[in-house]
Amino acid sequence: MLLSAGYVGMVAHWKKAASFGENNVQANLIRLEAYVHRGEGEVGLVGSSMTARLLPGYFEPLSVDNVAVDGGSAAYGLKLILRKERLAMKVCLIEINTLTRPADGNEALLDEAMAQPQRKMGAWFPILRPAYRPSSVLYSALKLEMDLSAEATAEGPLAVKTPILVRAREGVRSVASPVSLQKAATPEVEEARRMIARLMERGVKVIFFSIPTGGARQPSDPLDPLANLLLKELPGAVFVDLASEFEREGHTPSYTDGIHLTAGSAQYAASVLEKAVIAAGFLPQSPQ
Amino acid sequence: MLFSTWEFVIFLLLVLAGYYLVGRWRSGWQAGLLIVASYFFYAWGEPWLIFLLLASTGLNTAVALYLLDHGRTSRSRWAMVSGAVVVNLAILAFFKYAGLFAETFLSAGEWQKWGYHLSEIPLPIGISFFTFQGISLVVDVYRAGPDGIPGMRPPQTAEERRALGRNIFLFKAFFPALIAGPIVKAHEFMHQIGEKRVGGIDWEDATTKLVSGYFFKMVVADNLRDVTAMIDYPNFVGAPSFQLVLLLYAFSMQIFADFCGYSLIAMGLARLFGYQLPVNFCYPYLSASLTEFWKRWHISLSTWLKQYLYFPLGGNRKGALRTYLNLFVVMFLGGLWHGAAWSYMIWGGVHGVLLALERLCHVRGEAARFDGGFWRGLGSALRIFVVFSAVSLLWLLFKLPDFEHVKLYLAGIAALKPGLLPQPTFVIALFSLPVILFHLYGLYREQLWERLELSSPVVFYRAKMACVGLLLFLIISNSGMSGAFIYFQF
Repeated sequence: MLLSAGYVGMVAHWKKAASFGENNVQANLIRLEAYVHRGEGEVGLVGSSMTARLLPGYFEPLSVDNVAVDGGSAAYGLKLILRKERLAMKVCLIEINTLTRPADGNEALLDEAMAQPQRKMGAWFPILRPAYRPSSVLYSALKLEMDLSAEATAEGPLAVKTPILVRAREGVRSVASPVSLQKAATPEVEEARRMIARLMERGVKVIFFSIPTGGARQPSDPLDPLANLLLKELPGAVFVDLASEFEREGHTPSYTDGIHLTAGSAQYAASVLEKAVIAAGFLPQSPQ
Repeated sequence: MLFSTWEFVIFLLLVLAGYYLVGRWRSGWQAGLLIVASYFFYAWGEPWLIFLLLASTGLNTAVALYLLDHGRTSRSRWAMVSGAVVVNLAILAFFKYAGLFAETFLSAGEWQKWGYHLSEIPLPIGISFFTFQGISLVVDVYRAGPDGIPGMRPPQTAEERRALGRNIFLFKAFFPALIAGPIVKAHEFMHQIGEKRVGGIDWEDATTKLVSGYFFKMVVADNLRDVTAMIDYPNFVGAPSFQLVLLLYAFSMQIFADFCGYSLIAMGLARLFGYQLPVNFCYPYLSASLTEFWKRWHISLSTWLKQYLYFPLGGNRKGALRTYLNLFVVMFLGGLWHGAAWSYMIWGGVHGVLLALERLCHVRGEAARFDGGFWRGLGSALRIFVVFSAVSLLWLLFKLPDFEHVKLYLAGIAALKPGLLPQPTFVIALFSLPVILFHLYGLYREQLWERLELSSPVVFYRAKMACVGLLLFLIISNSGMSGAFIYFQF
């Protein structure tokens, strides 16, 4: 008991609770458990492991809950958000890159893990929270340290200088062809669209975003038609293309493994999204 | 029911309380309660399985009582014990090997007619373990003659007969060892059955075993399992070569932590009920030869195979050639015992050949020594590493039952693709560490730990309890996702 209390006190005091898990399941549990039991941020973030790199701390002063799922898509995060009876969330940032990904066994595993008694007990005993797992705390600290030290030599901190290009429904009509819209409308997208509509009915504003994934964008990239489809069917939602924002600022995103953004690029992506939230007029600009 | 679930914790607390409460009124009821609890434990999830356990126990009880009857001739006793062994093995073979038999020997027409149904027969959990216990029962009683073994004397009255029957039911169904052993022999268990009191519980031993067992299972094995899933096809394809080697070592650590953890939990649970189960592992990865490895790994199975198969085959008493053949046959059948797949047979067969080769080269199963200077120590360390690597390589046949996948995995290692994946490597390094430290403790326990126990028992006790406290803290804070024990599938 003493050991547990001392350990929890130390981790909390030095703000070393884990942001990353040493495997997908733990990484997901860290984010999902934090949201289900303590999530009261004004901005929510749903998506895959690519979005999981955008840590809540990068969005400060906005308070953000990251409900992204490694090996999954935004759909699972949306499900969790909709399960909450009272929503503190005012804006939801939704990654569209993996929105067409079908549900797999990962979700059942997560449901099972989230239903375990220790998850509920974690609300009162921090030692039972995934973010306090000693191995995850160690892994997370090492990973952040290594990511940041690798980047410190490569480039300094990036800042967003130009206004963010936020695309809304009005910009869709002229660019979206009926054929491309039809192709984008998969059953998974349709299910996600229904969930997003329910979320919007509960007063939550929606910003879709596509995240850079390492490969060069092709003319046949399905993300544009998908974004157009969602904007067309969900009036009031807006879209931000992060890859274009990197390009406009003259930055090249860097990756840890060819797919996932490094800490520096993730921080930059977060600041773009933060600006987009304010530019879209969804939240008042916080006093600096 | 899994030892690492909340249902089991509730079940255990209820049974333990009931066990010592009924013991206040009548000692015979304790065994009865344990039998009922064990059948409940076994039926959890698959209720029909208790009929199989009942049938197996009924058969072995009837034969054991027959063998204890002074009026039987030696010829009829021999016929009875042989019949019992054959029926026990036939039940095991039907459930375990009918599918393999059908796949291998039936024509396409016959396969369509009934071969498919044979291959769909589910494998009852723990059947390999309770069948071997049944065989040990009848063979032990037969070998001891009509006077029986300690705890199994010929019954003189109907009441004694009933009590003996009840004790045999407890021996076969005792839930801590029912699903995955240790394989308890009749002569090790029957004499322990009797009245138990709360005051007789060795709490220190029980707690140490339970905490270390749960630590190995929930912290080490369950966390490593997430990484060793990479060994499954097609997850390993394209991975760097050294990563593939590391994964093999990680699986070695996982299978040890999983099975040794299970055995420790079983031993700790048995302690709570006043029983002692045999030791199943003795620092196996310190072995400097495969002969030594099999004296340290799954000891209850190795000794079972030795006592009930190797010795009856003639052991090493019938010349060198026959000894080699016996070693091969025993290990081959030991491999087959693990499951109905050719990979298990080859795994056992290769171990048999290597054991025979060691014997041919006069490699003795002696422990490595580190007290004879640097070069001798280095030689011992190298031998341990070579044996550990060979054992790890052969575990691949456990993990990948399809040979094509095994070949693909080995080709991946041979490709010498550079690189290392940081996330799995971190997990392997961190969660293999307890197994390595445990083995180092095994190496130096006499010099350090046991000397401390003699010189400063209070310091020793406090240090031991501090270790238990640390393990408990890690069980609470750092367990992996709960999963079935690897040996449940056998």
